[in-house]
Amino acid sequence: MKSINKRLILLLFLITLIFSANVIYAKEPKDIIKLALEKQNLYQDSYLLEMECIVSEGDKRDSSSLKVYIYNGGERQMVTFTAPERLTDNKFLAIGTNTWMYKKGLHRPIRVSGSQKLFGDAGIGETVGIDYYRDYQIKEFKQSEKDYIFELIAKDSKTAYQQVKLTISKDNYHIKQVILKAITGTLLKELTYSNYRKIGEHELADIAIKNLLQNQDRVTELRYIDIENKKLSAKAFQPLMMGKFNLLIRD
Amino acid sequence: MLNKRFLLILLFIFIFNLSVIDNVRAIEIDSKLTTEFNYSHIDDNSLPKAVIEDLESDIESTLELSLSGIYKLYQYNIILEGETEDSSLDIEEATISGMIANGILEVGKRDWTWGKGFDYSPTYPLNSDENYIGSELSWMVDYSTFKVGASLDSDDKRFYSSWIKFNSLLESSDYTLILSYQQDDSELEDLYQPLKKANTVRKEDGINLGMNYSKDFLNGLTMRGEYNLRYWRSEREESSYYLLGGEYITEGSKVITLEYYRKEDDYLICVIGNQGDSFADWSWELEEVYNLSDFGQRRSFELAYTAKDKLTPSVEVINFLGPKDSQFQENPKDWTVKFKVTIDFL
Repeated sequence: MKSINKRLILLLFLITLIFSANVIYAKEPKDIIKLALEKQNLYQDSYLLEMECIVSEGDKRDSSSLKVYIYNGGERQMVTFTAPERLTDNKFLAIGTNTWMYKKGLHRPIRVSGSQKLFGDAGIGETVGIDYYRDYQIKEFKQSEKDYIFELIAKDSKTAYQQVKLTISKDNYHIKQVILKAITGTLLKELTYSNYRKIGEHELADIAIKNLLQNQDRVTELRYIDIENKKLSAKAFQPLMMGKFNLLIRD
Repeated sequence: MLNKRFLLILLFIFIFNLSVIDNVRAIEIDSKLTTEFNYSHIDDNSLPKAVIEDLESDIESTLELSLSGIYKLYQYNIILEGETEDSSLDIEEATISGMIANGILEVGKRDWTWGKGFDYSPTYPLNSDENYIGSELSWMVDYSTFKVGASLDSDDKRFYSSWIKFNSLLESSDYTLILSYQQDDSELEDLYQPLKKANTVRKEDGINLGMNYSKDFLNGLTMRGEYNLRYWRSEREESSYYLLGGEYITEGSKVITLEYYRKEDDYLICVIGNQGDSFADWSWELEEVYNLSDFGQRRSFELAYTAKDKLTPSVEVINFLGPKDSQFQENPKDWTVKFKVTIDFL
């Protein structure tokens, strides 16, 4: 009986060890990034995001309210402003690496650079979400006591930020910090994630953006207010139809 | 005049009250008063003193009322503009759009301008400073848009244009093909043949074949080009109009634009401004237009304070330079200062 118990214990121990090993080896570095993005749950389906953007520089503070329409997990995006009034006539459309701005009085879209900032230092990429899983590959992977640290490189030379340093917490697979870099390695922007909370089925954080090249006293903060699953049509996201966007999303 | 104004105001109030009906969504109402004071230096002493005084300064106020929104599956937009100087009130824009046959039909009066240029589009057959009554039907498929439209001048119904456009997206670029027809049966004074009979009508109708293209190099630089071949049937002659330009946005959100275009003459436009920074309290823009054919120049600098939502003061200084027989020196003003204040009521 004693020998049976010993064997049983040993067997249970071995099974536990093998199972744990499988759990460890299942977390490939790429899977960690995928898990972090799955928590955000913004890279499938179509959504309407209501956001607030606050820019602080010294004593000066300014804010804007945005509605971001994401089609099919980010294939196409439309950014509109609901405040301040001077921006409410503006819309920005991003399809792949094409970006257009539309001002109501112009009646036609103007192509703008993907580097165009929407408000403060918030560019279109950071506002609509960067897909670190699909658009980047891992150049280097490290671990610290508390974090996973990735050095990523864009798969496509046309991606706005060619290199990224991504830090993900080991505890909860939340993104903690992102450093966006140019192809030369020049540091461009720092994104710090804090105040994670659940909005529906999404776990999202406030994102503080710092421009590492200029305006180093300025901090731009992006906050998610609400997220709604929304049935959207691809035909609403066309540069020549930006003036009819509100009508097309009602159809 | 009084009946027209009364009817327009009634129309405005009626549509405004649609906001209390359940089916109306997202109605936007805007009202702006713009007052502009201009002072010019007249560089022509041969003109009578009274004419100089008249040209030197003027002040005008414009009240703009706009209403736009969506009612069921229709989108509408109305802009009324009144000028205090002549107590006029006009419909600047009035359009309604709706879904039809899997496309969108838009009918009404507006600016139908298309194109990529900063100030000029070679492929657009009408006057880009004017609004016309017209209609346009659009279909969207995947990454393409197809449009068919027509418009005419409400003041001169003999001025008419129709068009077919096809736009398609590529990777970081897009192009549009345009086929358009224009007819202008208005009377023209033929200054070079004074012996011609009075009431001579010179018919002009032309066919335009055009294309425009734009590309983002993904490093802050975007480029654009347009080409239009116009064939005048009555004159049996062809003429080409084209544009080539680019825009670069710097790390500091400054936008630099450079464009060359050919209209009747050749022009070069250089613009630099801080339009890329929506956070700035001050908005500024420096623009230079060179007529490469007669060496005339138009230089302007505009500065506006945009920190306040409801109040926007601005100042613009315009300088006309070049030989006396150049296009930009045709008017007697050699420089003008414009002070403008826009108050947003709603």
